[in-house]
Amino acid sequence: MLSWPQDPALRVLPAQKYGKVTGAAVDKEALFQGILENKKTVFWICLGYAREFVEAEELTQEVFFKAWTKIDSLRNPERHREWLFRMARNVCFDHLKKKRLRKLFQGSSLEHGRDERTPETRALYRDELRLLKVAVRSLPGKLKDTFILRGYGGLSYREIAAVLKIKEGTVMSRLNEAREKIKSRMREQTYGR
Amino acid sequence: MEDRMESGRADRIQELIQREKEDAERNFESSRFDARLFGRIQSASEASPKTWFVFLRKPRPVIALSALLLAIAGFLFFRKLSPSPFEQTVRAMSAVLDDAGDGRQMKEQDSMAPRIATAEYTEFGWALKGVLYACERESLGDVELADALSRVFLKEDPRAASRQGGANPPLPRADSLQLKSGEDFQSFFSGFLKKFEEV
Repeated sequence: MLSWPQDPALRVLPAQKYGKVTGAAVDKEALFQGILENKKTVFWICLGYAREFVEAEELTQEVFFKAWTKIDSLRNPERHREWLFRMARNVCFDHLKKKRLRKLFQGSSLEHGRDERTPETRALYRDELRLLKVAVRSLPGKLKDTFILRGYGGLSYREIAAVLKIKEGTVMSRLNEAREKIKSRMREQTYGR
Repeated sequence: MEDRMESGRADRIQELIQREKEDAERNFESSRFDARLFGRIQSASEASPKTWFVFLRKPRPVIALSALLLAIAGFLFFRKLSPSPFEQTVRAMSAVLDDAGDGRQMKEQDSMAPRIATAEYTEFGWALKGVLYACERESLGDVELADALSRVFLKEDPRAASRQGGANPPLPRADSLQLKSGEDFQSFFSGFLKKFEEV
């Protein structure tokens, strides 16, 4: 059984804030449980941005902890998915930014270079996956967001449009562009070696 | 052939992503994740700041209130320090008198200052005589300034005049004179001030 905070002020959201939407006070705990149902999707989105599983799990932790602390800013609980995925995108974006800065000062020690590959990871899947990750990371920010939300998060075009605040048509065109760039990059890496 | 390869590569991308997700999902322990998350939430809520401290998270109202208080304090301070209308008038008059050279600001050590003040006083006297002439149409060239002013502002006491047997001295004595009064004098005085400004 999970232990929730005992402070009533932390458990129940103010009725006046959510009264218009639900007609009654919203239980903070219940709302958060609803948000937590999207744990897998958030994890996959984080996996798209992260280099590996452990990093993705850490990012997912951060997203949900932030969601709990910022739950009062959720104006419309019915649209909590958009709110959550936007938060996930922002957390991952900030994380990557910090990581780039760290890399700048620490050199490329965090980079998984080719030399780190062990004989086991030389399997085709591992190699291809590494190529894919490098290609996704090299995408421009807008294309990367769209591709990860679709490819990893499995979000619909409408949801992606709502999260990124763009039109559905733009989502489709960005997705096509992102796929083309990834394919081209993977081809370059495969035949360029 | 190339299209087929491209299509196959796109499928392969999706397949790779799917496989990566499955692998990650196998390693992802949901219960452990939840336990850790709620542990963090619990400790964060225990260490949450006091209620009165919460306002710091929303600085806008605080900034607005501070600005308002600062503006009120500034206004009160300015009002307290700023001179009253009476003080402003006195300062303006002092400035005019200083410019006219009444000599009050002269330094005794400065030997040139008394001469400059005297010259200014003479100039002021002639200016005043000019005004008086414009008012009374009477030449006051050799008359002392005090006497010239007496002619304009004072009138002879009728009782003193009768005691002297109707004699008309060239300049009235101070003890037999009275300050002019009444509406005529007021209109004269306003005219005098106007002429003074012109001169």
